[in-house]
Amino acid sequence: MPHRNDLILAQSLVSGDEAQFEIFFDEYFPKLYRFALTRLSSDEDAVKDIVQATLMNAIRGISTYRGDAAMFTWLCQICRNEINGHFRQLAKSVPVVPQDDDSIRPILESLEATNSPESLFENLQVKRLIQEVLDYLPSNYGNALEWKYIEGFTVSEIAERLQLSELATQSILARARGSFRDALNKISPQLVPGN
Amino acid sequence: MMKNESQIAELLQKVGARADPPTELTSEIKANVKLAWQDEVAMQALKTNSLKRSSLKRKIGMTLFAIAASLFIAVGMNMSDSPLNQAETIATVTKSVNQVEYKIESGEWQNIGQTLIAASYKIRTGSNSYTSLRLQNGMDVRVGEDTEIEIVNLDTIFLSTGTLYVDSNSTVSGSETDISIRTPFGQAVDIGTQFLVQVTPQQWRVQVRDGKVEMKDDNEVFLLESGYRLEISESDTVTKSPIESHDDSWQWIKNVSAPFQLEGATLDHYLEWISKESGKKIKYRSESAHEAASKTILHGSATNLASMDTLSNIISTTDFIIIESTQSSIVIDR
Repeated sequence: MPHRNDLILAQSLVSGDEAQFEIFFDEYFPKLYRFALTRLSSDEDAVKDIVQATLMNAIRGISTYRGDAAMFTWLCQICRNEINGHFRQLAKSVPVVPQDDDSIRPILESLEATNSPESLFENLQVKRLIQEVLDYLPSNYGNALEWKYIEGFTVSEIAERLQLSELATQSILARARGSFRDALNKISPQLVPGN
Repeated sequence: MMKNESQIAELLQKVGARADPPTELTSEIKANVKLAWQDEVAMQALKTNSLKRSSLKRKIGMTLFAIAASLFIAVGMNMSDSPLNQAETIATVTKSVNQVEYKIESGEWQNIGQTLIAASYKIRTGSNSYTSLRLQNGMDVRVGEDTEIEIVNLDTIFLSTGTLYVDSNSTVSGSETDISIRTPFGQAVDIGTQFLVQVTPQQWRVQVRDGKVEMKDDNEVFLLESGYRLEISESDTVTKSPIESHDDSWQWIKNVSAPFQLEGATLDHYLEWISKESGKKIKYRSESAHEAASKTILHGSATNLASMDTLSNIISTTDFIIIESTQSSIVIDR
């Protein structure tokens, strides 16, 4: 079973485990919010409606989740359908189910037109794209990277937050860096310093 | 490739921390999603209990059958097919046109006639053949041509190929239960509605005339509103398009309209039935006209009650007139 933990989470939700509902919501709501925000040009009202509809639909269909895709990937697909419906209502000109590449391509095209690496990061969409990469990583990877390199926490402080030993935390950080680098390379090698 | 830790640090510092959604928004959405989740948990629990009850009933039934069979053997009697017990009946055939057959498990296909339908019965129709069923909970189910279904139980119908129309808002006995149409590709669960499911080897399609339908397959869940059709192909291509309530694709259901008892019915009840059958919206010119229609009692009988000609004839016997009739609506006044 490729995504066993996610499947167990889904089964716990079906059985009515409230603690698991809290975990599910706290884990995926912020990620979906950012996912929708990137694709809806910061239209807060639309983001609210779409993320709520996504989670409602996901919850109603949670018994059909089989763990074939990661839970976040599954949620993103539902969210993408909601976003398509939103655009269809607005303009009736958006393809029904864009693939990941379709939503990322305009951003990459805008990157190609940008000359200096510094100006890349002035582009809000690029920032959000990189933040989305963190969202796609396992939660403790994304959080550990953010705590260490943005918020400046020590390994010891991160270890305490993750309830792990310092050695295990260092290992998590190393794996997180590797996964982040690989994910970023897949999306756009241009964004990776040193390439 | 990014060579060292400091480069990742530099990149992440430029990007900044991920923004959390506003607290107020988080609380609001969490409360709404939690309500939906609690509803879903309750619904799943009901389904599980219902399945357990069915399983228990089956076990009891099999035990009783075994006892009865051994008694027959003991007395050396010749057992013949007995008519279905009323308690086992979950659906009745209301109308059939041309070649419609049923079979029980691995038995032979037989002409359906007025057969009483129990759980696990299979029904198939030939070309230009249709049938309509009234489920015990009042739901109106119509089977299109070249279709094969299995009535799994009152909550579930398996559509292996062809077309099925469901009116779960049937006014006959006001069903309140959901029905799930399972297909080889996924399932459609109604949320109080009139809808149609079609299965071919290449795709499955759901179109909603009224209410909402949830379409689920292994990967995705779609909530489809009235006025839309969604097709999902074997290769997972999804196409959503608008569909009118009077579109041609609905018209076959009139071939097997559930009978309507004209004698003693009120005019507004008849018009409501016409609306369901034709997909045309009934509009009254005024509230007083609507009120009067609800007090006008119809008498007599007529064949082909769903036809617009019959409607005109019936209206002409009352104080009402049809002031406008289009593809999508009929406007009534007095």
